[in-house]
Amino acid sequence: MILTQASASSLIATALLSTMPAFAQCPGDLDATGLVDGADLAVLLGAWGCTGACPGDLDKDSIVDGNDLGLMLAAWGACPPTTPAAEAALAAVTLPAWPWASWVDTYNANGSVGIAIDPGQHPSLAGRAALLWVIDDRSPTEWAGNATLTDSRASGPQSVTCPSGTIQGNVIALNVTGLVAGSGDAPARGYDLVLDMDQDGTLSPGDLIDGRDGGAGFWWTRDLAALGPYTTATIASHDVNDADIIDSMELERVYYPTNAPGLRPIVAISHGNGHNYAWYDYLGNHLASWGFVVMSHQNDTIPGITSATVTTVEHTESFIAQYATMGGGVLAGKVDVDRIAWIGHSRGGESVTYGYDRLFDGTFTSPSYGLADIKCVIAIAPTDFLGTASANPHAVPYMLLYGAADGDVCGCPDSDIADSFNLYERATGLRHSTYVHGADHNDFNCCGTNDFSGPAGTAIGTTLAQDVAKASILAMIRRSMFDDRAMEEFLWRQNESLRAIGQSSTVTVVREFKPAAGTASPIDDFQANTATTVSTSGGAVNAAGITNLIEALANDNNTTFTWLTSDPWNGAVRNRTTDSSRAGVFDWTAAGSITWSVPASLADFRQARALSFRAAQGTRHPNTVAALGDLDLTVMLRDTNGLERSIRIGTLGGGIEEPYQRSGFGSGAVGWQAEFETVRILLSDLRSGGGAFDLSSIATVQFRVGGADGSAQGRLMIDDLILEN
Amino acid sequence: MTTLLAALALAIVPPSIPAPAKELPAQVPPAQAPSDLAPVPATPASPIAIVAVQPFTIAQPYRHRFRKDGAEFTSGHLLVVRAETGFVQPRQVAEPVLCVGSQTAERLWSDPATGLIVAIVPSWIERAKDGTERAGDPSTDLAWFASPELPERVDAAWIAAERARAETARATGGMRKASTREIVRHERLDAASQDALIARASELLPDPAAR
Repeated sequence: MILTQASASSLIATALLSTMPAFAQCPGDLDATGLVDGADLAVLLGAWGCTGACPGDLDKDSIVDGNDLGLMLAAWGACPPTTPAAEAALAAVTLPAWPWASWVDTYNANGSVGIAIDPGQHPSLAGRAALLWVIDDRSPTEWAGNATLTDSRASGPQSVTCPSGTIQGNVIALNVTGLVAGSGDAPARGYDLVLDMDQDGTLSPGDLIDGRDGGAGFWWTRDLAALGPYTTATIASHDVNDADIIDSMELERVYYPTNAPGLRPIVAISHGNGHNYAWYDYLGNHLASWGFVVMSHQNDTIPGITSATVTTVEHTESFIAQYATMGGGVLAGKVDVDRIAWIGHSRGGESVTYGYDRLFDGTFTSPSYGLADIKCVIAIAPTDFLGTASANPHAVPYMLLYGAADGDVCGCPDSDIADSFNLYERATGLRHSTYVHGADHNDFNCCGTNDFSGPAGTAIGTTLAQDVAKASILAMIRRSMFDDRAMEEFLWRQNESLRAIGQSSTVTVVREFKPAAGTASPIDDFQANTATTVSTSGGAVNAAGITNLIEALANDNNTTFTWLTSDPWNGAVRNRTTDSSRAGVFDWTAAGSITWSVPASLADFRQARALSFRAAQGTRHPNTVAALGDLDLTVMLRDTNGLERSIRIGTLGGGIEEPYQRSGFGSGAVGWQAEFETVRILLSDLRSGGGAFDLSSIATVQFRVGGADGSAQGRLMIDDLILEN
Repeated sequence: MTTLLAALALAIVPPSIPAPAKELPAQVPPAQAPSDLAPVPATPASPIAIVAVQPFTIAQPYRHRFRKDGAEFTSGHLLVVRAETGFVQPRQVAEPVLCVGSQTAERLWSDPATGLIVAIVPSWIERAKDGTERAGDPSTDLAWFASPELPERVDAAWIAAERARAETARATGGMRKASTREIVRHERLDAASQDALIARASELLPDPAAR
């Protein structure tokens, strides 16, 4: 082919240059598919005679000619790998719709692991044979020093053929026979995955690896609801005889592992009013079996929270002072006094929170421990007597465990004292809530009054409720105390998608998760720029087709759960008037959307791990009642080139849970407090199928509701639309 | 090696990962199950009966933690009352504060099965309108459940206001007097310490397992 219209070809060439990726690693692979083939030849010939900066000018002599053609023909076929093995997500679960796979990291050892080699992202691998290796997790440094592959399975590496076409229906089952779950104290054992393309048994150029650049490729996890690796023993009752604690409140019960090596962290349990320090054997034994020394103490709750807080902080101090001698000295030299978790139930839940506040404020100091030693605080259905300033977790990693059928600290609209989520909303550090349908207040101890208050037939009982408690508390402590990333997915994935092996599938659990401030970038958390047309991050917000959009303090403003237009935050018993957690709320009965323009400063999503938000259905709203069930919507991202990626949140394991169908505080429709649930979209999932969608330049994030995009109608509270780093 | 591995090759098969299930919509709301936790009764209200009273002295002063302005005390009464279940069941939200005269009582134990509450009432002085003073006596002076609150947050003014409400209610027939028909008056206890006092108090509870 001889091109005579050089100027025209030059224009074409310039246009091609502007749209085609670089090919520096494989001369001749002009379209960057990993192959030098007819498509590349067509490009070269199309630029024939082009002078200047032209595609196909392989020898860089500023003209596309026979020399370039010779170079291309010499390189014909698959590109020789010239780059180091690439980090790529491989381990995945399948999804029932696009993106067809979610590249998550945590897997239960009674299940399976999918290997999703996305042909869209790795077109050069399509149809090629490879060996799939599972290697005990190595750090980046270890990989740098040892590229030899050693499979952890007796059967050795697995022969696979990389799929062609689409990832849909082409996720490969990893052979998990022989994999060991858990490692010492850790419930999960990490493995790296290598797709060994040249099948040479080493990590080499052209291979893919999942887990080299930090973390593991996947975590193979034991049952968090079952006992851990250690045997346990108990000091049934120890009298600390401390002058700072009244005589009638001086007893402790201690649970400890008998065969765990090294220093063991402390977990202190503060019971609630009318409860007993001996009522938490289930939790004490559980955590001790996972390597913690657990101390449950008498808690002076009847006078109030201040008195209970004294027993919380003083018992912690007494335990540290006395552990070496109690029980005949069985704990001498075995306690890590620099790692402490506080767990409190009901009034005790508030007392551990206030205890942290007192350490924070400096109104309590101890020679034995300080603020930095408290690694996390866990409140089980806490009260909120003290309010904004004092029942305040500040930045400590904070967990709230709550039963939707709580008949005591009920989440009722007529009293802030009974609204546990007030405390949760005040937490500014990493925070997580586990909200359990059918569980009541005293399901989280052995022996309290049956306070179940909910629909008949929905009570799950103590055993199932405590299975949830054991698993979620262990995950939270491990995550916050040891930065155990394997546990994090138990705190945010939809319960339908991941739950502890021993946790019943019949129990509905709603999870919230938010990383610590400073590790996430809000697109809109409704805390600043309070107009509905401007996001926290300063971008424009446009609503279309939806109704009644407002943003304000998320606080139910009356004493009934009956839906009234005068109370747009009906069910949001999450703030006092002195609190500050704002959110947005809207409803729809037809197709509509909210679109957030992403400021340039946030437009590069590549370094973020996830886009997340939280949402809750509007309690007893006519739209909620009319379409009772999980609420679904579509989240769409558009890049600055106008390319879009959309994901239905129901695809990730269920939509936004409908409120627990509990009656009271009003007549007619039923439904209880707002159940905020976190939806976390892994940005790696949005790469599914490949293509030119550009995560480095996101222009808008859009929620699409109604019509073909999700539930036909609904009312939704939304908050914390953030990029997680 | 490659040959051997090829022999072990596994075909591509769909993984046995179940697709996340979408939950079914809830059915017609079922009937609600009643809670065993009784509602908080209206206040002011009297106990059903004063069951036992025992004056005491204590050698080691003991700080009264059941009011904000509580002071150390060295004398008072152990008191056992029988009350409606709603007053006896422990709860996490605010409970009606048991008051006697111008004092709050320190609840030691409550036994919902029998309706009994065992408490310590520090001594107080009753002042008549004519200015005369006498020692307060739980067996004769007004005992009642005041508004729900944390005892550590109430003070003399709060108690006085609640007492006025109670006296009004009693005068207008809105609150009857606690029965004293079955009252047992014990001999004065001279306790050496808080431990000894509480040990004696435990003996006043018919079922120690309820402690």
